Amino acid sequence: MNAWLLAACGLLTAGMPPCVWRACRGAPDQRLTGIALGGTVATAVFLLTARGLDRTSYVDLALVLAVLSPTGTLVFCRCLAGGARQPRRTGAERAPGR
Amino acid sequence: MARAATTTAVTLLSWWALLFALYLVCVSTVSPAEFAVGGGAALLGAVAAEAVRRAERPPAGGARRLGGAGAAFPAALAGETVRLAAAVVRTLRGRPDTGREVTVRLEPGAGPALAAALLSASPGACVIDIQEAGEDAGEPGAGALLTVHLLDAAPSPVEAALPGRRER
Amino acid sequence: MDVRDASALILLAGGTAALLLSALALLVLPGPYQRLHALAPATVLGVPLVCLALAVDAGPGRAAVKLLVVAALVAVSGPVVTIAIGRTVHEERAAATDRAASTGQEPPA
Repeated sequence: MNAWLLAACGLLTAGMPPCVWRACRGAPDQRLTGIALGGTVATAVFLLTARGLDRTSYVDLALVLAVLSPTGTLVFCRCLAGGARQPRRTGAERAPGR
Repeated sequence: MARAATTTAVTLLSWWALLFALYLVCVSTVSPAEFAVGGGAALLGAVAAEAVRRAERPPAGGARRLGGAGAAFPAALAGETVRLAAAVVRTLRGRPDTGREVTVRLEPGAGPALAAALLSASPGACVIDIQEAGEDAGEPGAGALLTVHLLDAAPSPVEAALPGRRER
Repeated sequence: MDVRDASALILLAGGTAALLLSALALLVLPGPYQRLHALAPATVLGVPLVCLALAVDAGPGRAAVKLLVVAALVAVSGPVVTIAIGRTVHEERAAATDRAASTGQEPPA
C-alpha cells in the first residue's frame, strides 16, 4: 500500500458517492453535474491506480476517458436541450430546432 | 478562392501534425505499421477538424484583448477555491446562499467563447448563457452578452479584467 | 525521501484535496447553478495537480508527456462542459417558465 493507492482509495470512497448521488436525484438536466464530476474523479482514480499498481497501461484508460467523458456529457446536454429549443428568442429568423 | 484553399491546407496540415505527434508520444514502440496507422488516423482527425471549422467558422483574433483576464486567472483560481470552501462551510452551518445572476456585455472584438471559458474556469463564476453579437435587438455594434452566475457577492478578478461591463 | 518524492507527495495532496472539495461542494451546495461552481476546482486544479505529481514522480520522458496531455485535456474540457451544462439548465428553466406562464401553473423548483 503506497501513497498513490491510498489517494485512489480515498477518492473512490469519498469522491465518487456524492457524484453518484447527484446523478440519481433531480430533474434530468440537474443530474449532468454529477455525471461530469464523476468522469473527472474516475480519470484521477485511473491515473493513481496506474502508478500505485505499477501498470502503465492504465494511463491509456485515463487518456480515453479524458476525451470521451466530456464528449458524452455534451451529447447529453444536446439531447436535453433539444426538447426545450423553441423559438422563444427575439427574431423570427432564428430557425426552430437549431 | 485561393485564400479558402490556403486556410483549408493550413488547418489540415497543422491538425494532422498535432495528432500524429500525440500518437507517436503515446505509442510505446514505433514501427512502420504503426506509422501508417497513425498517419491515417491523424488524417481522419484532421478532416474532421476541418469539417468542424467550416461548420462553425470560429473568428480568429478574439484572444488579443483577453490578455489581462488571462493574467488575472491564477490569482482568481486560488482565491475563489478558498471562497468555494467558505461557501461549503457556510452551507453546512445552515446559512445557504444561492448566488447571484448578472449579465456582462463584452466589447466588440473580444471573443465570447474564450472570455466565457476564462470566466467559467475559476470556481467563482459560471457562464450560463451566451448571446452572440447582433442576435438581440439591442444596440448594433455591441459585443456579445454573457449571462454569468456568481458564487457570492465578492468581485472576481477575471471579470474585472475582461473588456466589458456589467449590464444588470 | 528526496526533493522529488516530497514535491510529488505535496502535489498529490493538493490535487486530492481539490477533488474532494469539489465532491463535497457538489453534495452540499443548494441549487443547480451553485453546483456548477463545484466542477471548476476538480478539472482546472485537481486533476492537473495529480497529473503533475505523477509526472514529477515519473521523471522526464514519454510517460510524463502523456500525463501532461491528459492534464491539458481535462483542464480545457472542464470550462466547456460547465458552460454547456449551465446553458442546458438555463434553457430548461426558461422553457419551464414559458410552459407555466402559458398554462398558468407553478413552475417546478
